[in-house]
Formats: sequence, C-alpha cells, structure tokens
Amino acid sequence: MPGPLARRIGAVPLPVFIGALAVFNFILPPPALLGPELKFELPLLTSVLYTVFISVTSFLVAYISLKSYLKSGSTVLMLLGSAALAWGFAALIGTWGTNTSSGPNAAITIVNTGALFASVLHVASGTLTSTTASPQNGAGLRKPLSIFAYCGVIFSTTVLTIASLEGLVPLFFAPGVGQTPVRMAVLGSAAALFAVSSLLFARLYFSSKSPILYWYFLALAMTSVGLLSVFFGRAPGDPISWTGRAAQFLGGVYFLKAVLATFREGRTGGGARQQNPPG
Amino acid sequence: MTTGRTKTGIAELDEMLRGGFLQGDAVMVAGSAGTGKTTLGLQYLVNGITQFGERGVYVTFEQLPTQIYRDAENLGWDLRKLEDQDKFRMVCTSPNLMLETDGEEHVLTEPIREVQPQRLVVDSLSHLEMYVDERQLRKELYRLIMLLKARQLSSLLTWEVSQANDRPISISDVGTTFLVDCVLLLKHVEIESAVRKAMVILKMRGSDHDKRLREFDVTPQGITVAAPFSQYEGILTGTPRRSLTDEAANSWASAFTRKGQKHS
Repeated sequence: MPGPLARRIGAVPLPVFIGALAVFNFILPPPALLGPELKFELPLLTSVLYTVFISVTSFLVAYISLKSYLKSGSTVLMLLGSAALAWGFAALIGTWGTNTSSGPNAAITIVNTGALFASVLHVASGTLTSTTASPQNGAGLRKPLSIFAYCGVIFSTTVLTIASLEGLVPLFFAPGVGQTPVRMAVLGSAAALFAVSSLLFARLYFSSKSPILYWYFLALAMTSVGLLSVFFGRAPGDPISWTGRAAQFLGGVYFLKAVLATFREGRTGGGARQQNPPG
Repeated sequence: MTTGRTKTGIAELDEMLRGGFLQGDAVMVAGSAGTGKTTLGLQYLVNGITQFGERGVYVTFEQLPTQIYRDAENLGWDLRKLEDQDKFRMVCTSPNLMLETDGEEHVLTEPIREVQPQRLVVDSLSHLEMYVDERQLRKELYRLIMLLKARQLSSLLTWEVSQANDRPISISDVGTTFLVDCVLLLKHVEIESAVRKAMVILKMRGSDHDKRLREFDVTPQGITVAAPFSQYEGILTGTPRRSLTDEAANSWASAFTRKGQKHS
C-alpha cells in the first residue's frame, strides 16, 4: 500500500485536471474567436511526449504483464498486456508514422482507435478480476497465446494505419471543420471505458490495498480524463488540449509508478505475502 | 577433420555438451562430498557399455569394490556381469602406487589390455594430494592425463572440493583445471531452506557448451538433469535469490489476480 503522503499526492491531480478543464471550458472563447496566442502546437514535441509518457510506459506494462502471464497463465494479465501494447503502439505509430501532408487525420484516427481498443481490453481484464474464478491457461498454451495476442495487436494497428493512410477509414478529423461524429463516438466510448476499467481496478485496490493497483487505477482514470478533454477543446494546441494531454502523460507516469511498485514489492517479497493475506 | 563425441548417455547433459564430451578429452568432474561424482562416473561407464558399445575401466582410490558393486546394483547396474563380459574393469588401488615411477602404466596396463576400453574414470584424483606436494601433484597429474590421452581414452577424473571453496575460480589450488579439457562442476545449493544440486560446465576446450546452471538429482535410475535455475541469480556465490524481474512478475500477477483461478 502506498504511504499516506504518496497516496494523497497521487490522487490530487485527478480533481485538479477535471477542475482545470471545467475552468478552461468556461473562460475560453468559442473556436472562431480563439486567438493564435492561445494555441501552441509543435508536432515534434507532441510526438516526443507521447512516445516518452505513453508508448514507453505502456510497453513496460505490456512487458511485465507478458512475463506475469507466462508464469501464471491468467487471462487477466494477457488482456492487460494486450491493452497496454495497443495503447502504446497506437500512440507510437500515430505520432511518428503518420506525418503526412494530408493533415493530422491519420494520426488522430490511429491514436483514438488504439485508445478504444485498449479501453475495451482493459474493461475485459477488469471485469475478469471481479469474477470469482478468472480463467487460467495451461503452461503449454501460454507462449503461443501470448504471441498470438501481442502480434494480433501489432498487426491490427498496422492494418489500421495503412487503412487510414489510404483513406479507407471514415474521417476522424477534417482540417478546417474539426472533429467528426465518428471521432466523438470512438473517443467518447474510449474515455467512458477507461473510466469503467479504472473503477473496476479501484474496486480491486480497495479490497487488496496493493500499491500496484492504486497507481494503475489512477493511471486509467487520468487517461480517461485526458481523452475526455477533446470534447471541450476549441482547437489543437489550445489550453484544454494541453490539459488533456498533460492528464494522459501523468497517466503514463502512474503506469510507470505501478511498474516500479511491482519491482519494489518483488524485492521485499510483497507479492508472496499478498498471495496469502492474513485471515 | 571432424571430432567425434563421447556421449554420457544422460540426454540433458549431452545436450549441455552439444552432443557429448569431445573424444579423447580429459574431463574433470569437481564437486564436494555427496554431489554425485562417483554416480556420474559409473553412469558414464555403464551407459558407454550398454548404449554405445564403448568399454570402460573404473579406477578407485577411495572405496572398496564390494561397496561400489553394491551401490551400483542399487542404481540398477550389474557391474559384475559387465566384468564377466570383459566390457568393464574395476581397479581398486592405492594412490601411492600410481605415483611410483611408471606407476600409472603398471596399474592400468593390465585392465586396458584385457578390455580395450574407450572410457576410463579415476575416482578421485584428490587422493593423490595426500602423498605429494602441490608442485609434484601437478606434474603427476600432467603425466597421468598425457598417458590417458596417448591411449586415446576419454577419461573422466573426479576431484573433490570443499563446499566452501567450490567456486569457479578456486576449484583447485594446484591448477588441475588448466590440465584438463573440460570441467564440470557439481554443487550443493541452498534454495528456500532446501539443499538442491546444481551442475555447470565451466570449461570445454574446442566446443560450445551450455553456460547455464542446471539442476540435477541422483535418483534410483542414476543422475537426471532438470531445467536451468532460470529464476535464480547468485547460485554460484552461495547466496541464491530469485531474479528481480521474476519477483516483479509474481507481484504483478498477484496484484491483478487475487481471486480464485479457473483452469481451462
């Protein structure tokens, strides 16, 4: 369980970000009146930040989940790892691999669809944790199943990337017009599902008090808030947009905190203790 | 020119050796008391005879033949029968006889002439230490190893080390590891309050080999080699601990899967 101070500080940014979004939404003028001084968009910076805070941290979660799955065979872990991989890989491909002259549509499509895919897998994983007996695969099946799952995530994201670049996917963002209803639906679903999965893991945290789960459910909540911010944004690079991104990046830091908590527990044997809780 | 392999007949060990010891090599099996050196030596000879048609000679300085026949019988190996078939010879002698001028020749000539062996085990070279100083011992060992090589025997020489000193850098103070072609270390390791056995190939001239520590056990069927100690670090240092990533993976799994699991 995280110390009281870490726990208090860790939870504070969540209402702060929600409050900041509400304030910005209240004070910012409508898109047509938003001046250029309120917009800051540097694609290279955005790509670097997404890579560091979302892709790298998600890959760490995917790695530790894969290793855990190979040892335990729990489907919860395979879904969790696949979700993290989907989120991290979509962010990586979306921000680096789609800098095309046709505008940001492809990048937005890939990142948003990746978010939806990841949120669905997170909800599936979180739902399994609340069932009385989650499925577990036998030792012989684990390696092929994990290869299938992880390769499937990479393959589907790659296909989506190609389809977006070829214009085979409905528009998510039209330059001069803004976001389309398709994007709103995808992103809205992703944000809602991230919030649901956060609640599912929070429930698990309150029964176990594991610091890993504490940081994990907060990371999901921050990601959800970050995605939700798009609904209120006036233009790419406006304060709402950066608040949302900052929430997602902090979510990445919390994913990292969860992984680091794992190593700390591993060193002190906390994992073993948790398997046999007193009483 | 291709070099043949001398298989031990223990499938996993042969796999570690990439097919077996190189033919004609002198192999040192080092380990503390009770690690299974004698069993491995006997199994090497018995498997050679029964599986590969290679006859063998067993030279012992430390046990009486009756003891060895009995112990081998408990493992399902009828050494007397193999002797009757002229496929095996046991030589029980005193180390000082080996150290006399041309002692090795005197001790080994007759059994070698009788069974024409391809394999030979000396159990154990450490007994020679009682009769000569370190410098002289090195010379004697060199002489013995050269004699065995000249006769094209694939030899397995056991060497006793104290449990406290059986680290890779201090198997022997007299430099025997430099004289032999291959060094196989057998070691007791304490893991989670249980004593287990580990083997590792420390050296194998002229061949690739498995560098991992493998668990093994002495069973009623002889030596069986199990999986590498992949989850542990620091086994050779005497303070094994689970690897950090494995522990982390356990913690991660434990955090997310605290409820009952259903096998599919």
